[in-house]
Amino acid sequence: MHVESSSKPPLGGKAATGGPPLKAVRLLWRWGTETAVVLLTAVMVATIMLQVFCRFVLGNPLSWSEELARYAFVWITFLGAAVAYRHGGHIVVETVVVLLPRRLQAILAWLVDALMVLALVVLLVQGLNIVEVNSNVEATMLEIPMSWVYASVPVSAAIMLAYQVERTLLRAQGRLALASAPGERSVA
Amino acid sequence: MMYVLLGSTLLLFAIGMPVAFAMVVSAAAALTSLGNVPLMVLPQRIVTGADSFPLMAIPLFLLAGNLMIGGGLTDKLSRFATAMVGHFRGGLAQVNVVNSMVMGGMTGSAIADAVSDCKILVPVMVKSGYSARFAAALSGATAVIAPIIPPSIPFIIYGSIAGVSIGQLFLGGAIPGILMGVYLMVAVNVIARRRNFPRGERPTLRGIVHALRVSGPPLMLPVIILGGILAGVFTPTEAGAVAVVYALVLTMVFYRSLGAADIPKILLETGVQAGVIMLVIAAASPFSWLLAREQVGQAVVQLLAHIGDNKILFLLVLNVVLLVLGMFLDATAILIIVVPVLVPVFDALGLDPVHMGVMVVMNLMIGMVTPPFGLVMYVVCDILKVTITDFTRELWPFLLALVAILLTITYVPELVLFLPKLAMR
Repeated sequence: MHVESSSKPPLGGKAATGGPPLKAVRLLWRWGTETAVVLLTAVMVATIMLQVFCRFVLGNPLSWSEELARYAFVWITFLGAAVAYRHGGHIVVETVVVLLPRRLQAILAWLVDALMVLALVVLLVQGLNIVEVNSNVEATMLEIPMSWVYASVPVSAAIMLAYQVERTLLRAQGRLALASAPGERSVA
Repeated sequence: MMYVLLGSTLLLFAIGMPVAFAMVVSAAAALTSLGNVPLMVLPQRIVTGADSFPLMAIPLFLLAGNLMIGGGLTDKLSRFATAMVGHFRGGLAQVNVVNSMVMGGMTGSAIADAVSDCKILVPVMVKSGYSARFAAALSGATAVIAPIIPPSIPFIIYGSIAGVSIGQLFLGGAIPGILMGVYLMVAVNVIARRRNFPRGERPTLRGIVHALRVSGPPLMLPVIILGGILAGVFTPTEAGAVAVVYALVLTMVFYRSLGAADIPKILLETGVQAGVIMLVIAAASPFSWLLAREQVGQAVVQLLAHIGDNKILFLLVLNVVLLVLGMFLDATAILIIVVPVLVPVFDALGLDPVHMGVMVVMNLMIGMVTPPFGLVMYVVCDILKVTITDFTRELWPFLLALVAILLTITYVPELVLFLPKLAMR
C-alpha cells in the first residue's frame, strides 16, 4: 500500500494561481481537511480500543462505541479520499492510456477532468438530497441525526471539486504532467 | 442496462478516470437508465458501503504497520531473519525471504513489505556483492507473501465483498503464506548453488539469543493476532485495535523510537491510505447492488453450466484469467468487480468460499510483481533504479515458484482449510 505522503508539494509545483488571500484560503482549506482526518482517525482507533478494553477487561461491552467508530470511519473514508485527491493519489488504470499518442492523452485528460466534475457534482447534489432526507432519522445508539453521517459525501465532494478546479487551472497552464507515473498509484 | 454499466465502467477505466469515480459515473448512468430508482440511492449505497465494522480492520492494520515501520521495528525483525538463515548459501537472499514472512505477520500489504525490503535489506545485499537487479526481483517476489500471511488488507476486502468470514480467511492464509516462503527459499537455494553465492557467518548461540531478545517483542504481534482469532477471542477488527495498541506500546514506551509529535503524521498517512482504498470499496457498493439486481452472477452461472462443471478445469481457467487480469489491472479494482460475479459460481460448483478467497487473492498478488503493470514491480524498480527488463529477467525463477505454490493450494484445499477448520471446532 503506497500513497504519496501529503508533505510532498501538491501537483508537482507551487501554488496554482491567485494572490495571497486566495492562497491563505487554500492553505486553511487543506489544513482543516488534514487535521480532521488526523482527529477522526484518532477518535476511531481510541473508540475501538476502548470497546475491546471494556469487553475483555471489564466484561462490560459498550453500546455506543461501535456506532461512533463506524461513523468516524465513514468520515475518514471521504475526507481521506479528498486529501488523496489533491495530489492525484487515487487508483487509476493507466494500462491503456500510456500506449496512446501524447496528443490523444492530452485530450483524454481533459475528458477525464470533465467527467470528474460530473461525478463530483452528482455526489454533491445527491449527497445534499440524502442529507435532507435523513435529517429526521436518528442513529440507533448515538441518537444523532443520520444526516451528520451522510453529510460526509457532499462535504467531500465539495472539497474535491475545489481541488478539481485547481487541477484544471494547472492543466490549462500546462503545469500538470500527463499520465501519472505508475509508482504513484496506490493499492491494497 | 447491465451492458451500459459494465461497458461504461471499463471504458472509463481505460481512458484513465480514477477507478472509484468511474464507478460512480457509470452507476449514475445505469440508475438513470433504469428510470424508476431515484439517483439518491447512489450516495446512500456509497455511505452504506463504507459504514462497515469489518472493513475498519483496514485502517487499524495499516496504522499498526505504519507505526512499526515509522518506529524502526522492521530493522529488528531483519536481525531475527539474519540469525535464522543468514548462514545458508545465499544467506542474505534467504534473509530477504524470511524477513518478508515475518513482516507479513505485521503488515497486510505487499507494497509496505517491498518498500521495507528495498530500504533495509537490499543495500546490505548489494554491499555484499549481490546484483541490484537480483535483489530487486527477489524483494518484489517475496513481498507477495505479506498479504497472504495474516493480517491482510486484500483478505479484508475479499471477505467484505464475498460475505466470507475475514477471520477464517486470515487463518486460511497462514499455511499457504509460509509455504510461499518455503518455495521461494528453494528457488533461492537453486540459484545460490548455480551462481555460487556467499554464505554468511554461522551465528553463535549467544548471537541467536541476542537476536531473539531484540526481535522478540515485535515477533509476538503475529502470535497475538493469529492466536486471538484462532481461539475465537476477538474479531479481525478488534485484533487490528490490539495490534495498534501493541505497536504504540512498543514504539512509544518500550523502544521510545516514536514520540507524540510523530503520531499526527502517521495518523494522516493512515487516514489517507484508508480513504483511497475505502473510496473504491464504497463506490463499488452501488455498482454491485446493480449487478445483484440484474442477477449478473446467475447469468454467469448459467453460462458456465453449458461449459460443464469440471472443477479441475474451471479452477485452471480461473487461475489463468485472474493472473492475466492481475498483470494489467489494480488488485482492489479486480476484487470489487470480479468477486461479486464469482461468488455464485463458487456456490454452484460447491467450492469452499475460504479456499477460493485465498486462491483469488494469491493470484492477484502475484500479478502485482509481474510486468507490464505490476505495482510492486514499479515500486521496487523505482526505489532501486533497476530497469523493468532487468527486473523481469531475474524474476522468472521466483515467478515459477509462486505459480507452483498457487497450483499447490488450488488443488490441495486442505492446506488452506486446515487452520480455519481447527478454529471451527
